[in-house]
Parts: sequence; structure tokens; C-alpha cells
Amino acid sequence: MSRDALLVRRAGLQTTVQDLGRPGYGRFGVPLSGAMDTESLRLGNMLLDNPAHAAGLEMTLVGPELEALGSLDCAYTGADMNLTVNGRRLQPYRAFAVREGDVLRFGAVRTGARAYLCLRGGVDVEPVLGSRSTAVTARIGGFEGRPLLGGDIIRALEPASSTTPLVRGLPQSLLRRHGRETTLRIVEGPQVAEMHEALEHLLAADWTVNGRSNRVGVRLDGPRLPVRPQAWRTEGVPIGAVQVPADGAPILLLADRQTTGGYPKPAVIAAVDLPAAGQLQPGDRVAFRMVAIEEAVELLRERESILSSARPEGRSAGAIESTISALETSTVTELEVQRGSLAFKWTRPSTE
Amino acid sequence: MMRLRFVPAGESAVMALAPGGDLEERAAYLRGILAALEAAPPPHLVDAIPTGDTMLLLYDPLRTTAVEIETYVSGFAVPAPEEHSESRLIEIPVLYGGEMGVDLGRVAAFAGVSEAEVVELHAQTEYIVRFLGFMPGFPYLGPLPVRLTTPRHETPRTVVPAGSVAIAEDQTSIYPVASPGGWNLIGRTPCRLFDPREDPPSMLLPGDRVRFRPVDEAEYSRIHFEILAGRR
Repeated sequence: MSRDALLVRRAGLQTTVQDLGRPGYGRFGVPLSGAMDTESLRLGNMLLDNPAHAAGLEMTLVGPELEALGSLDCAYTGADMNLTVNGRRLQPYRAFAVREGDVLRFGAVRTGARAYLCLRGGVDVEPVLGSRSTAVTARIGGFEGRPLLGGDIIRALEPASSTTPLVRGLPQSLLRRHGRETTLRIVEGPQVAEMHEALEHLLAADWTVNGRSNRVGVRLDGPRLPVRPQAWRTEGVPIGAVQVPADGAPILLLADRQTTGGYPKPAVIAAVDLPAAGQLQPGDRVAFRMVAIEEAVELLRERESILSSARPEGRSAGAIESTISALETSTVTELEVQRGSLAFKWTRPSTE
Repeated sequence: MMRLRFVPAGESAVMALAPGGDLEERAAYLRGILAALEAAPPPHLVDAIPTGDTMLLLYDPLRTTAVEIETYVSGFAVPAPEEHSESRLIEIPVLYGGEMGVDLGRVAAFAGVSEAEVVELHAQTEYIVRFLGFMPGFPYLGPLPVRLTTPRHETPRTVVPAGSVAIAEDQTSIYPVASPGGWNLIGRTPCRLFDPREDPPSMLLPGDRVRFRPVDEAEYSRIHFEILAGRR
């Protein structure tokens, strides 16, 4: 049960359908995929009372132009991509309603790399191995495994419930700021013992994000790390692995990474900082800080606790039907989320 | 009796290593572990990604720990490797050479034999699926006859067609979908290696035995048509 929601008038630089990915198929060579900044996608779904794993649009650096094909509740999160709706500017981390013919025009980001547009009910494409995520290199999921193109029609699932939301946004304390300088916390990787020197250099240096970065990996410019010219064993690659190929230039392996690889990995980005890694844009400066595994788990637990107990901040209640006229005259109507569980969905049945 | 060794791989994964024995023994041992894990996974294990002699165990760090996973996995009584020789034997039809295998001559030149001998050597060998990686359903098959060892192309091709049967170093494989690739292309199969609508989605699984069967153009086309028509 779904309906036409948006027409893609211009696709943007790389706009893909993403949810929280397809865990559990790594042994078949299937990458995890899913949102690069899972937290922003989850907050978008939270604003719309969607399940945390509902699919949305991930927009990269320069966003698309979309036309509403009917009445629709949307939420916009992640990097500020200069969204205008019918010419009126909207801030991220808001939910809003549009009507048939309204035009959502995303611009370019200044900081951060990725914005998310969630739709009430979730974007509907055929699930592949339990996920609607697009794996561009593996060519599965989303729109035939590819980024969106002009002329595509995005469909939305019917929402499970018809709760009437209140007018609210998300508390500022919940939101991450995307600057041009990011510190990522890392923990020990499989080759930590063999690569102590490289790890020390990694921690000591300042790094710059290379333009040849994508959903598979973020390449870093800086000093060349020492790496022994030996045949390293081929092994499974965890998400967030800091991989050091033979040329000594580190690569952060993210959502669309290959499941196996033969380069050493002295460190892995702490899971709590993966959303920040997913927001790195070319030219950003990156530093690393080492934490113990126990600390990384505790940081993740704290962050999950904050997210799952988040209460949207309220103003007055209001009806969403009048949103677009309100849009023209005052501010955008913001939809509240019912307080609910944001439990991370790690495992899922193989079919939906 | 082999014992697994574990090294950390972040806070959400741990790498299991199988020391001792030769590569094939270690690989067989890990396949036994993988089969046991699939039959009875420990709570909150998310995935297990095997390679020749390692297995990456991914878990939910908010609900379990590396120690719990390690203890559980170490507790498996894994049968001796020879008991796995009863694994499936899968035959893969291949149209060798010509447009379908543009590097057959290169492999022959490295081996110092004729193209026909390369085909014979490649097709008379029984391979084991060591693991899947690189892309969905991409099998690493070995051991390749030593004669056929051929280095990768220094500059990878931007597009290798789906179904390409290829050789690199001491391994052979099949590209499930078109992708960039640096392996030597010696033929092509009409078989569909990866289909996400199937469970499991990959035609070949770790531990399967594989044999390649040379076919001519007519048989290739017939099989290709049958697959497209959904009759096989």
C-alpha cells in the first residue's frame, strides 16, 4: 500500500534511498549500506512517528529539486542543505507538510555532507534482503541499485497509524553540529599490534578529507603512514575500519564498504562517531583520538540513551492541514513525535 | 585440536583466527564453525564474515560483549575437516576464450601452454569456495593449478561483464554482476551467481565444491535462454 509522493525534477549530486542498512548478509559479500549518518535518518523518522528503520532520501553535498504529487508530511534532518519550499527557507530538524504542486528545492551544504528527507510512512521501494537501502557499487536496493535520476517518482508507504501530531521540533541539545573540523574517536583494529608506529602517526597528525571520497570510503590527505610492504591476510572488514593501503594514505571504510579486504586496519572508528564520519565533506579537517573498547561501548550507550529518551520540545498544538498556508505567512509547522523507542535494529528477518 | 585466537576489530566486532595446519585445513575448520553458527547463533551476533583463515564476528555491543561471543564460539565441537568433504558439488558451464574470455591467451602465455591446455587444466580441477567477498556472491575459488597462476592486470578494466570467469594469482572466480576488475578473463558462464530473491541469495556458498564444464556457443545460448525464461 503506497502512493506517489514526489517527482524528482533534478536529482542533485547523489541522492539515494537509504534506511538502516542490510545487516546479516556480509558472509554473502553484501555490503551493509544504509544511511551514512544513521542518527539523522533516525531523527527524521522520529519526527514523523515512523519506525526507526523506515527509508528516506539521503542527499549528498548538492541536493535535488522535488515536486509534491499530493499532501505529504516530511522531515528534514542532517546537514543544512539550504532547503526552500515554494521559495521559503526551512531549517533542518523540522517536520513539515506539503501539498500537491509544492516544490522542495535543496541547495548546497556549507558544512556537513549529507541531508535526509523522510516521508511519513517511509519511502517505498521493493525491499532487497530486508532493506530498501541503495548499494550503488553492488547495484542492489533502492531504485535499481542506482542514485535517483530526474523523472523518477518516489512513492511513500501508508503510515501505520493516523496519530495527529502536535506542533513541535527536536531539542537543540540533541542535535550534532557539523563544523569543518571533526575529531573521531577510534578503538583498536585487527592489526593494532603490527602497526603501532602507523597508529601513533595517525593520532599525531592533522588530516584533510580528499575529494575522492564516497559512501564506500573517505580518503584522507596528510603524512604517509608507515606500512610494511608485505602480503596481509584477506579478512572481513568492520564498518568504520581505518584501512592503510600500500601507499600509506588512510581510508575510512563506511556504509558501502566491501565485506572483505587485504589491507591492514590498525584502528576502527568508534560506533558512536560513525554518523560524524558520514558527514565529512572534502576539505574538512580530521583528527583522531584513541579510546578503550569499554569506553567506546559506554559512549555508544550514553548516546543511545539520550536519543531514546528524547522528548521533542513543544510550542502550541496545531493542525498539520494548514501547514502550507502557514508556510507562506509565518513559520513552518513542526510535527511532534510520540515518545517511543528508538532501539537500534541490528538484526532483522531475511525477508519482509 | 585447533583453537581459535581472537583479536579486537573495534567495539562491535572481533576477528577469529584459526592458527595451525595448512590454509585448506584452517579454512575447512572455519567453515565448520560458520555452519555451527548458522544453525545456532549466539544472542546478538549480527553477522559472521569468513575468509580463508579468519572469521569476522559482528555483534551488538550494547547487548553482548566480545568475551561472550568468543566463549560461545570456542565452545563449538567442530567436526574434523574431512567430514566436510561431503559438501555440495556444483557444475558451472563456461564458454571459454574468444570475446567471452579475452585474456585466455595471456594466461596461456604466462603458463607456457596452449589455450586449449589452459581450458583443460581449469576445467579438470575441483575447486572449493573459500569465501565470498568483494561484491555480492563473488566467490574466491581455489586451489588453482599452479601452472595457471597469473598476475592481475596492472590497470583494472572499468567494466568486466557479469558472468566472467577469471583468474588472478592463485585463485579463480566468477563476476556475479558487471563491475570494474583486474582479473584475467578466460570465459563466461550464463549462470546467475547472485539473486537477492533467493534464500540464500548466493548460488555458491563457502565450502561448496565447484567444477567448470566447457560448453560451446550453442549450449551457452540455450542455457542462457533457459535462465532468462526462468526454467532453471
